[in-house]
Amino acid sequence: MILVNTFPSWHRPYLALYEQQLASYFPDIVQLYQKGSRGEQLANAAQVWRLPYWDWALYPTMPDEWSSSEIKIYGPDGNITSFHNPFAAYKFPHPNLFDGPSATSRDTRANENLTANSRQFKPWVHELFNTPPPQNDPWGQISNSAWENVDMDQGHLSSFESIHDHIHDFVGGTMRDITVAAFDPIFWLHHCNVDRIFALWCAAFPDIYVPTEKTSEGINDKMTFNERHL
Amino acid sequence: MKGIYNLRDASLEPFSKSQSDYITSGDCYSTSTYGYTYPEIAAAGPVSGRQLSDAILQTVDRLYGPSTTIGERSEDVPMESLAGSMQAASLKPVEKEPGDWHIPEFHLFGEHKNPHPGPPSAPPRPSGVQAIENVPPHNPGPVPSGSQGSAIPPHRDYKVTPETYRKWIANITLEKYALGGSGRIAFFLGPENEIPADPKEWYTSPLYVGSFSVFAHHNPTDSGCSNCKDQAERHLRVGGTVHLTDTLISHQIPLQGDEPIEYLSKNLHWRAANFKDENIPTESIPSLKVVVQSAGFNLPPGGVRPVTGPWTRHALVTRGKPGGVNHANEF
Repeated sequence: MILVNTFPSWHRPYLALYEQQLASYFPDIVQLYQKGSRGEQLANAAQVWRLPYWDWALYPTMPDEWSSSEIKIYGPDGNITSFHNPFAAYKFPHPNLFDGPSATSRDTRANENLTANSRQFKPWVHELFNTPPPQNDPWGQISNSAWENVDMDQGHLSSFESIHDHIHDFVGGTMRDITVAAFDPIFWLHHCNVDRIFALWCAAFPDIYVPTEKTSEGINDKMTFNERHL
Repeated sequence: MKGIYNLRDASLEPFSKSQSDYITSGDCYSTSTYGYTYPEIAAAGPVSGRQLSDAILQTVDRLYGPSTTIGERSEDVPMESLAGSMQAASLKPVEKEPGDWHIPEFHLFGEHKNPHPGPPSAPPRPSGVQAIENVPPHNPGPVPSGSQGSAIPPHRDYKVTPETYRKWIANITLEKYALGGSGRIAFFLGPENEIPADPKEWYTSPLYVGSFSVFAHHNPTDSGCSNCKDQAERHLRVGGTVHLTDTLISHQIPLQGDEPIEYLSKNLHWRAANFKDENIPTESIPSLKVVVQSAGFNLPPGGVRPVTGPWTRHALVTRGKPGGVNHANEF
């Protein structure tokens, strides 16, 4: 679902589905915590919880809580307890079935990578809003990183997709491999921020979205029209 | 034309909304489809259309605009005051506090003194249930500490004001699969012989500016991903931008006039690496194209918010470099 003008919209139901799946575990967990001192707090939180986003433009480095092997949580009785950190990595349930690692991993220098590149993040995001896209297929320009016979001098070439690609690169490891990136829990926080930028952009430019009609203006003849993809 | 061109009612398989129908882009345009919003949109209040747009644009300026990345400031300056001072600029350049983006006196060999002591303004923490709490404040990234033999003299009174601000960017395009999968084109500012040979050392080099990253399958033809195969066979190109402005500022190079052009021409270089962090010689990437451009801010008539433009190409900066455009009119 990349290099297509539906990159942002396709990922939106994907995120919603993941969020829905996570939330489906909440009733049992709330039940488990019911009698402890944090029971009510947790029950209330479960009512309003939504998938969090990682605003890497404001906060380019990942906190320790995302990678430490153990974290401190409130246990069912309401007391603080140590728990293995599911956010650090995802362990594949049946690693023997395929030829690969038993768990997801990130580049050992992920935070250094992010810091070294962090100077780019704010300008990338800001430029999406400050330089309106050209008249020629504006949604195509902003949505995905393909470039075909388009004026390189029209301004910046960043798109929701190209900016998003960098975070995959800098976090590295599983996130750098397109076939398995979504197994790293951080994928979901990253894509939630991509969805947020998409939502903010649509609010800022309400007249521009995936086109409703085929037009011949600016269409590269070599491109195929796909009305169904994948 | 960009990317595969789908219409708004095209199915977003495999996500379905009923037994018989898939979700379309039109269906999920609004986040209210799934019952959510984001803090910045909620904070704008019960507005829509132009009012919502203005509110979001102002918020984005405040969170991510140039005023948040330049030097140390004792107070945020919103883009509106950039507009105000552009109107005053026709009289004479006015030095104002705190609207003046004064860069602290800066020595590239490590020490610097800040004549305006005070905590750097931290970005506002996002509020709302979607926010991540307890994350460390934004670190704008390492300032190059310079290196021996580097011919960059520190300027004593280097300043960037709204009137002298100009954005500098490098635009990059190449074939998506030219790097054999994921990879990057990395940019450096400084003497070429100081660029580390090992891509693993690029990010920590004081010369490092930023990269254009490619996110691609390393085996497009045999992977079973028909999109990937199709894109590879069509030699699909991808593109992006590396921002040079903040690095020019940290090198204390004026953003207007000939000096940035000469400086970039001498000192801007780039290299390529693949997903295994192996160097790829740029000669083996014939599809690579790099263009450097700059633009100032313009206040549209009747507008309150400056926008970027028009863009000027600087072929001198890229001439003779791998994939660099040589002339003003070259594609």
